[in-house]
Amino acid sequence: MPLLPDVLVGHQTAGICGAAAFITLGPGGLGKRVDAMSTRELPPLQLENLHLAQGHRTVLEHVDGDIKPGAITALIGANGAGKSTLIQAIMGELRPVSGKVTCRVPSERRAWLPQQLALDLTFPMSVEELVMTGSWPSHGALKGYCAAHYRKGRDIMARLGISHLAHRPLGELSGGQRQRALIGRTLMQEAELLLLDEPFANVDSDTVDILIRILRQMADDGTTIIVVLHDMDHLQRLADEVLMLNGGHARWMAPAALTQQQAPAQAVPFTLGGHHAGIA
Amino acid sequence: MLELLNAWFVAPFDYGFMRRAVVGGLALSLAAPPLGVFLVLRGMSLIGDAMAHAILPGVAIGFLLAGFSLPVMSIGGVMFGLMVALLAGAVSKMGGQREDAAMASFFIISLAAGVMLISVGGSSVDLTHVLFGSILAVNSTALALIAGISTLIVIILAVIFRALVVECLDPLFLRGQSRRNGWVHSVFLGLLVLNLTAGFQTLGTLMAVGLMMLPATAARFWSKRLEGLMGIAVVLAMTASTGGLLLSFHLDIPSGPSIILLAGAGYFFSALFGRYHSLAARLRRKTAPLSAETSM
Repeated sequence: MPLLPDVLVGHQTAGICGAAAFITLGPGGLGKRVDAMSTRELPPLQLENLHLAQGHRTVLEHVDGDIKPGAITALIGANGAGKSTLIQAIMGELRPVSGKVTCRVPSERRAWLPQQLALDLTFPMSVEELVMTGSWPSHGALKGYCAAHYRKGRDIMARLGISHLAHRPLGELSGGQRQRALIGRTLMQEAELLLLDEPFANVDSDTVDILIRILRQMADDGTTIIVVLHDMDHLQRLADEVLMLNGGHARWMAPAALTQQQAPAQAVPFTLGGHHAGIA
Repeated sequence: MLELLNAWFVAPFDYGFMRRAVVGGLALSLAAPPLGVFLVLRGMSLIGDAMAHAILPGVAIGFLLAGFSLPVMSIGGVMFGLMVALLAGAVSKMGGQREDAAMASFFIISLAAGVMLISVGGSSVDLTHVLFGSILAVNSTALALIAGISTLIVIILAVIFRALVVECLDPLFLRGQSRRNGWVHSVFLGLLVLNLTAGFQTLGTLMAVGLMMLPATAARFWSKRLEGLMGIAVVLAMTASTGGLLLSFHLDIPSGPSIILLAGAGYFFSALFGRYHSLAARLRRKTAPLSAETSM
């Protein structure tokens, strides 16, 4: 475990600079807040010898990796390979059996868009209000918005091409429009860690183009993005790194390596499964 | 004409008990409907009913210990209501049963226990009083209690409002923010119990929930916005509680049922003539042309 000393350095300098807080998740370390001297030098997310299980069934073993700031990591693998399990562990929803997830992004800067949305579409709320809720975690309970906040919200909606939907109730949106609004919320949140589970499923191609552009901009601004993908085309356009889950193990690869492997794949079927035929 | 107005709307308040009752009713009308709106939005409309039954044994124990003392009965009610809410939550966490199934079991046990306790320790008059409320019994201590609890509810609701909205809208987003956000649901249930204990004096344990739910369900026919829903629900509740009191005074009918029935009349009126999803709205609905859409 070569990464551990770095974390310890973070511990020892606690309280001296207090540049930012990070949270250690793992057995015995849940929710512990520590100040790091400088989080910029440390990867925002570290996975160390992670062993994850759902119930008594081991899903993933020996998952290691540093996720670099501002990188877009594609998470690929067949259905049931453990992509959602890994995301749950990263979000702190699932306790690892052993190993550690170190997330240096404060919780109000983390965003997670699961594939199965918990969003209540009958709730009386407009697109603009949904986007504005992104600022609530850092805004506190009672503070009102000023004009600058509304301007920021309007800018975000303009970037996503949903300005004309600002006052539309959530229930009347199409799948693509809803996805844009939800990405708008993460932009409002100024998310530093963004986890997306198949964000392009059931979404029109215009929305895909806009979202890919926006996600790239977010990454350039320093947001670390982990995205579950099934489509080879989306992967090539978006991913900087690829983490492939297969048979309970994780393998890091470059997107280019995957495409090279893919090229003669007609002969050797390289099945990753999924809803789209892109990778399969 | 003026005389008639005076006789109907002003003269009743010459009586101290009417003044106290109307102030108590208005205070309740400010606190209860917003809670009801959240219950409706979360698809938990019947939980309010369940909680109203759940406070009964606590109220009964308070009654047996101290007679008709609203503070003691309220404390008993709050404690028992919270206990039932916690137990129901714990049973559903044990797995197998959803929270509403556990709640349904607990509330009917509570109702039986409460009725048993009061019947054994008191008379059938006492039982009627606890179940259906009595306007005459609102003394100044009770009024202070009702007003205090209502104020507390409004303040706490303001503080947890954003968390509550996010929890209704997208619970995963809330949980993603912090592991500690599980308290929002518990605090909300606590407010519910508090409100029901404040309401049982005027409306009775069984009908206190009416002032919470009916204005909220009626408001759904008038607004598609959260602020609108709450505002309309509060106005409806205030109208119903004041009007119901006056009706009960003039027609010599019980106060709790007349308040709730007036709110019920408001609900039926809304369902027939409201702006959205009502019968009238359905009849006059025409598909808007595209040009109307873009001007929105």
